[in-house]
Amino acid sequence: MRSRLGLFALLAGAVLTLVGALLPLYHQAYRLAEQLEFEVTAWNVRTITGPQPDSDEFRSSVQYGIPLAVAAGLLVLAALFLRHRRFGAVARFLAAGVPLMLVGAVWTILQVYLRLAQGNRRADPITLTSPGLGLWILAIACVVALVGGVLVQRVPDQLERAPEPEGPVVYRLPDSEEHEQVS
Amino acid sequence: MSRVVGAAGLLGGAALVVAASSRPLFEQVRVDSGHRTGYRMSLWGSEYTSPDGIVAAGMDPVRFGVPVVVAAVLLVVAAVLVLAESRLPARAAAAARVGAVAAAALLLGSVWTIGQLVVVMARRDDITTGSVDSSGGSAMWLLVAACGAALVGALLVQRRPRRAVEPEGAVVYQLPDDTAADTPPMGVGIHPEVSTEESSPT
Repeated sequence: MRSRLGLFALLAGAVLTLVGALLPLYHQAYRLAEQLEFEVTAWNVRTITGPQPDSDEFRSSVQYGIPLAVAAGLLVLAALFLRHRRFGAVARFLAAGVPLMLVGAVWTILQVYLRLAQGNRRADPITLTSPGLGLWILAIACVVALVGGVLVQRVPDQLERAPEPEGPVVYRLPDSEEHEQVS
Repeated sequence: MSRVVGAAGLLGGAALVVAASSRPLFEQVRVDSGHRTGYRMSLWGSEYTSPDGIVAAGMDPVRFGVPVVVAAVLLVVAAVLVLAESRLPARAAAAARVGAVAAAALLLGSVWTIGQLVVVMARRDDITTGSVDSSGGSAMWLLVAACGAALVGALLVQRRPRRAVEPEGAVVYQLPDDTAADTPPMGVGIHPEVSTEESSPT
């Protein structure tokens, strides 16, 4: 039950990561002569108003999405191999690490956002930055994946002790002629 | 043995992070009509060097160092706990081994994301006049090395899972030492005064 819940949490974390990476991480509004607004996702930048660039949506210079997508992929791998006899331990290793890798990536993006948001506090800011839905979803993805990673770990008591036999214990004697019934 | 080497890897990773924190992540030198300007970015801030050689700190720098340093602290804690494993209860020791993986992964996630940014900055060649020399700084390489050391260390401190041995031949369960469970010589409990010789058919 515990590990099944963990497995679903790992998968949910992966889905939330991919969704969060596609949604805007933050909005930036420039207060210039003409209004200009940007939405930045982990993969691209979208202009909302203002002078149109070559295309409405263009590739963001910094591809934060790559480490996020890799983390999501590894979370799925961990969930898939959790029940595997041979790779179960590898899956638990991934489940312990990958959620923190996700946290590291999201935290770094958050540091970038915090730097941009600092400008808001000035008396007359030119650029106003506000967090987007993607940033929140990525934060939730981190928490969900972390919970999953903890739930699928084995408690050492389960690991060390061999299961006690239940019910009647049957001794099987070696097949030898001495024990054959005399008819 | 591999536990000690692994703990050394974790500590080495943390030491490399400390070494990286005072070095540049990214450096750019631009020479335009004889004027030389420089830009440096580190884990904690950035600075510009004007043509007159005056160094000014950049405004509102991105504090990339925060997650990286937290990861380094966790690496040290995990290494210490792994080394003191024998004095810890089994649960705490297992948690320390999982914590080592978690700390190394936190470092990997943040360094990779910083790397995405540095790669873009180093590749930027949209400046048309003058010559631009931009490169990833020594801190970036130290951080990559720190990730490698920490991940190898985290792998080495793990215990190989005990594989259940497939039983061969007869399966014998050993019952706990309890004389009451022993089968009496006659198969059923008989008072010791009734001797075995009398009752057993010969």
